Amino acid sequence: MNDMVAQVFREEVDDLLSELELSLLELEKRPTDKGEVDRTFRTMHTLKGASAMLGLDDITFFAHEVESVLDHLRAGRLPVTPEIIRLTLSARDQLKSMVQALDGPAPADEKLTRSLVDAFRDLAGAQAELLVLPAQSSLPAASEGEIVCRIRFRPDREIFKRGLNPTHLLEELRELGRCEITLHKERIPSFEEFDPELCYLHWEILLVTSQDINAVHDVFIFLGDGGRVDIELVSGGASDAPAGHDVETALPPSSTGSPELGADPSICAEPVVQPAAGSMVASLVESIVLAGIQPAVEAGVETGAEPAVEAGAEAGVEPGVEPAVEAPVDPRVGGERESERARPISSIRVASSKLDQLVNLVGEMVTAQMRLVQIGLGYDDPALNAVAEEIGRLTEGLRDTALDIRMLPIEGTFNRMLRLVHDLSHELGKEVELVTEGAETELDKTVIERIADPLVHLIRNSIDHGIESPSERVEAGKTSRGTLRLKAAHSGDSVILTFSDDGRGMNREKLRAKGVERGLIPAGAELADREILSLIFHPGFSTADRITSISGRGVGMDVVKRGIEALRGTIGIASAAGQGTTWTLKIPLTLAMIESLLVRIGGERYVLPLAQVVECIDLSELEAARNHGRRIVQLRGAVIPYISLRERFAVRGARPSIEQIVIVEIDGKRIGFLVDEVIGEHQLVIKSIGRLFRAVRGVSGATIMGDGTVALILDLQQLLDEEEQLERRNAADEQAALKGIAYA
Amino acid sequence: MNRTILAVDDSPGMRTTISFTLEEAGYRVVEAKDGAEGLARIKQEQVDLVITDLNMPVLDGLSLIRAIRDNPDHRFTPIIMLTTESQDDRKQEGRLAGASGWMVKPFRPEQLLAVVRKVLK
Amino acid sequence: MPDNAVTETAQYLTFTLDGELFAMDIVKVREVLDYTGVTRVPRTPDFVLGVINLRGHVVPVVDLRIKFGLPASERTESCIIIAEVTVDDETTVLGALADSVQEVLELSPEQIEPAPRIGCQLDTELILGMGTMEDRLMVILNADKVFSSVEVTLLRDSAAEPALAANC
Repeated sequence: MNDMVAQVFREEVDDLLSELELSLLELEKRPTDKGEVDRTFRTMHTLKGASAMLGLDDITFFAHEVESVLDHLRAGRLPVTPEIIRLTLSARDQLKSMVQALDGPAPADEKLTRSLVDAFRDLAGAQAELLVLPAQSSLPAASEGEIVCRIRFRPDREIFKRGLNPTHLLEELRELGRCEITLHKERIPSFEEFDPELCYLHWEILLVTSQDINAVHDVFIFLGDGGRVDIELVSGGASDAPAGHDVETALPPSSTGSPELGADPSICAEPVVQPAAGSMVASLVESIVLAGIQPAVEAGVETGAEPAVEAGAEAGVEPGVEPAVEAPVDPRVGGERESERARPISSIRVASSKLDQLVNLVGEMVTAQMRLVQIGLGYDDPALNAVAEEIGRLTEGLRDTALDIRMLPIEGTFNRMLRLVHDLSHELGKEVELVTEGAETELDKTVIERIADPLVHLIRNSIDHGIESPSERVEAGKTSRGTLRLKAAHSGDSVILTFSDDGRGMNREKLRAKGVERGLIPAGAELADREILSLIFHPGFSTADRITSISGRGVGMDVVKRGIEALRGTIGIASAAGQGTTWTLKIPLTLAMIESLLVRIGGERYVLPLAQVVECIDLSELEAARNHGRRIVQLRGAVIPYISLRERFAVRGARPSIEQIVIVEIDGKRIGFLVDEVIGEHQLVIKSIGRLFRAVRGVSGATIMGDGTVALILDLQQLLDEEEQLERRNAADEQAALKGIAYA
Repeated sequence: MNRTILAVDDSPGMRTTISFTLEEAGYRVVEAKDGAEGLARIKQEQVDLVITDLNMPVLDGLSLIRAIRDNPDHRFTPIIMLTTESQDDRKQEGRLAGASGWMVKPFRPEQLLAVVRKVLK
Repeated sequence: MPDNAVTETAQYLTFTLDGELFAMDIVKVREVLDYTGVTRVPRTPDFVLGVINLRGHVVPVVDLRIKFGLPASERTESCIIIAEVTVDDETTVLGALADSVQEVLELSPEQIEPAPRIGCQLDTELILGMGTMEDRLMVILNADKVFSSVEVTLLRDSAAEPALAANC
């Protein structure tokens, strides 16, 4: 197949797998929704078609098994059960692994595929068992004094080794009366796995007999544990049974006339009357041989010109052939055809690496353009400056467009979380529903890729610790089902993600006690509510009484915080006892650029994220002195503490007589950062500062200025956290000193 | 003038296969992603042949075929349906709805081309 | 010291620091730049000079003089050797300040002695060995180890409680 076409199919398969997962989760909520059942079936069906076109026989074969069961759901022959949903979700995951394995060195776990196939065949088989074919039955109706029994006989695989021959038992049944016997061959494995000493067959027998039902039981008396036998008395006869039409679809197409089709082992449940030992072996052998040769779904058997045209004739429809004879079109004749093909394309798919490269190049260009402007300033040439300005305008447009191209809706991530909630709530025996909002909100691809892990942690934590067990919830006057809400919304250059649960909320006393125990806070310290809650972000801090596999190993919230901070984002908590917890994540739309406020401290320039800046004010020596060295400043009646970055960074040299304070808002709290001078606002390209400096606190990245030098991007949240830690420590020191105890 | 073929399938891959194969051979292909869109396109375009999937959202293939046949302009326009199930009842239903023939997925591009050439000869 | 042993003849770039001769495997050297302005990174030890812009990439620069306890120098005449180092299977770039670059020499394993355990004021961990060439003695540096040693120092410093040591 053409590479381009194959690529389209591959992407389609990926999309279908996501869609399948989503529709299964929906179906779980509304198991009787016919539309959702149809959608699920259709998705699996299209998936099978796409993988067949790609020539992925294993995947097609597997998809076919799943589709058969979904088809039963669609036709109402099987009910939608949580078990089927769970199994189909696993199958979907396995299909995904199989698809992914195509690019990888190792194939997907074949054992798992096989066991899933078996499970689906069992389901399809269970369905087949529901429908023996009385409507089609050639059995004369039971007359007076006769009973009709349905017998399902499923011998143990090892039955031959016990010296038992199942056909003898069938013979015995025949002697009791009139029999219709259906042979099931679904469990016959592929040729490589076939063991000739095992019995893979089972039977279903409809028996009309004048004997007592105990006589029927007696036939199997020597079977012991050599198999399973269900004998059911069917009263009334044919009219009680399901309609014959449904049955047909479960049967192999018998009149297609193509011998290969009849051999498809996956859909066979052909009625075999009187399976004499010889014929059974014969059909067994036939199945095995064919199963070995052609395990996949029949492909293209009927493809070809002939049937199409014949069919047209059969249907009595004249093919719309115009009388005028046209010369065959030469595909190489260009001109007109080109224009014919030039139809508008509404969207295209591009390899994401190309987009990354584009964004990198645009970043370089923004930097180069800044240098151009810088150089232009030194020449005072109107023509040069006009060009520099024009290039500036174009670069800005290019930058915005390039970044916009890489934006994706957060929907995919949200969908992953739906699945996670589904799996976790089952695992932990809790009833939890995730409601999402704003899935269409767009973020840079690189941000989306890195937001998932922190979200997974938050959700795990909520389901494990936040949401109570159903009984606890009912006791607390809540609905037994907990609700998680995940919402995304734009806010300027950021996205605000809000994640909340309606669980038990945070236990402040427990947090405080743990904080004291860990030596993070002094006993009896006065802490703002926010500070108590923030303790949970401390590394190694976990208040879980018990350890579960989901969370509570002390790896948790600090990992979340670090993950968010690595995205230049912030995280805040609000919690009400008994009502739940809300996490607010503020994340920049992109990691490529930053709207920034450039400041100078000593000889270096630093970059502050503009998104966090509220305003800038001057601080004179006089004013600084007025507060007796305490680092606070009055602003329109409010007292705002500030941090001197000069001191924090141990910058040598004299302080200017007038400094500036940049007031920022972090997690609802206002705080100032004292700098020598505010230079101005810039949109800058973010560069990684490299692994060497990853541990340096307060610095999150770097940018390259117009003159080619590097300026560092500050991590204000980290600087603030540090300040709070210091304050706590100082408070503890003071307290210890007061009590006359040396504080270690 | 090039013959125009309407390809109706909810699978982008299948649409691309059809377009790619037939355009290479000099046909003009109009795509639609479901029955409803297919019906809209057939009203806008001069369509000489319809290739349609059966299982589709919004409006399924059989309904599409019936709707096309209800249009006097397309009483004789050939319609090829694409099936994955090689089951007779689907084909029979399709025939009754007015399809001219069928192809079983998956198929090779040459097979598609052979069928189209034959039908449009 | 198995991973420090030199087994093959290789080419080395030699440079001076405070009059002493040093060398680095040429395979590790990507380029040599004239000294340009370095942006200081706060809260890093003195031997970390800071970062420079290398064609759009931010590259750290260390001052080996300070790292090796030699007297600090005027930087105007110096240059920066850009080395490609491998740490934890990850390739990264490090700049090292040198007084001047001398030449490229070929040294066979016989010309290289293991670093002396005593009598050497440098951290032997960072040294591949001592090379000799026509009576000249040179210290052959292990660029990977120089990088990881800086990294370890930085990680250790930041793991300590929020560092305000500088001012309180």
